[in-house]
Amino acid sequence: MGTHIISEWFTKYSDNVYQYLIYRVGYKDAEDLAQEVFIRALKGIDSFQGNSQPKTWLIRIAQNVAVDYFRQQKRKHWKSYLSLDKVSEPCTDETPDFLLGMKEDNLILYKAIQSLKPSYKDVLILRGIQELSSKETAECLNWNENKVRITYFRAKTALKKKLDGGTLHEQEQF
Amino acid sequence: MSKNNFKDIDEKLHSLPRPTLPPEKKQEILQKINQVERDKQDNSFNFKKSIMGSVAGVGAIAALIAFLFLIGTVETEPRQGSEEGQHDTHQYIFEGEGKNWTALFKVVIEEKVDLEGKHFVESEEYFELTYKRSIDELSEIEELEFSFETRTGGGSRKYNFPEDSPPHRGVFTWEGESTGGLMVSENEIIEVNVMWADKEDVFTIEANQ
Repeated sequence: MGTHIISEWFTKYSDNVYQYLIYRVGYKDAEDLAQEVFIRALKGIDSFQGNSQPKTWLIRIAQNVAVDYFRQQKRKHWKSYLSLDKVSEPCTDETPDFLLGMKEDNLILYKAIQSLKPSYKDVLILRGIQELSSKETAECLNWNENKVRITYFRAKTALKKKLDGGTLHEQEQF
Repeated sequence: MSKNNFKDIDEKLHSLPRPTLPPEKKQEILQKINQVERDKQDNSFNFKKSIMGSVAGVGAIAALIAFLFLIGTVETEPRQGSEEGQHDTHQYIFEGEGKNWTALFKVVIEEKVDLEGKHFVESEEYFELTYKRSIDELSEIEELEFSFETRTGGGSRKYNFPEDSPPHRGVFTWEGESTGGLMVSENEIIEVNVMWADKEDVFTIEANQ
């Protein structure tokens, strides 16, 4: 029962989840994290009550997976820092296939989005890149629609500043 | 900044590539989903099997005891040290609600008296706090703290929510256990205190009769 539904949703929405993750955490781990999203969905299918659309429910899981991922990266980074072991650096080594396929403008835009704070990234990816409605974005992020509109406006202002010559090194929190 | 200033940003965002998962990875993930489901079913089957085994085992033992009793060979006095003594389980569920929250507190107490008359008590406790209103109202909160007090002590928990990680559900829990000493009594009236976003809800919960 669970597998049947999740397999169906995977066929329909795996690309939406994957695109969200690529822009949220970077290309390197997006495939594995997409898998994690659907495994978590399968395990938690009993908690899906049909109040939201499957797509927004899955993207909400993807958001949680991304937050956990950054926490894990942060811990790894601290561990390697404390042990003076320089094995793991923050995720910067993007697979060239994805980035090389981009026009220069898009590459600058991609990097500018990556440098923004997480809530701005979320809303830019969902509203701007994936073109979800305010309602769908609100469902994904567990916000109200007003917060989506305000945050999207602020995110675009921040993005414009970056593209107009601001620094591209805002600190990632989660 | 006007909407027109963002027209180019909107267009740029819409034009960014939307890569798709490679087909071989899709295949791999689908296989993984099936594998997880199979493992789940196997575990469930093994659990049912073990339950059935236990039921069958208990049935067989009961039949054997009945048989021994009938032919008058059963030992009526337990051998020293060969039995555990008396064993009792009590379960209480306390419930109640305030203006914004409902709370449920479940206590399972196991009492044992060994053959030497020594009394042992263990308890497992589970507390669940649920927001009565829309979860949207909690989307801006940074902190939430709750506590409840019983005659044995009670419990408390504090949550911190980073800006982009508000609570997903309006349910917050606490679990605990204790051994020996005082146990929660079913006659208690337990006070619950919840603090969130500069608000406070104080109410009591009582055991179901």
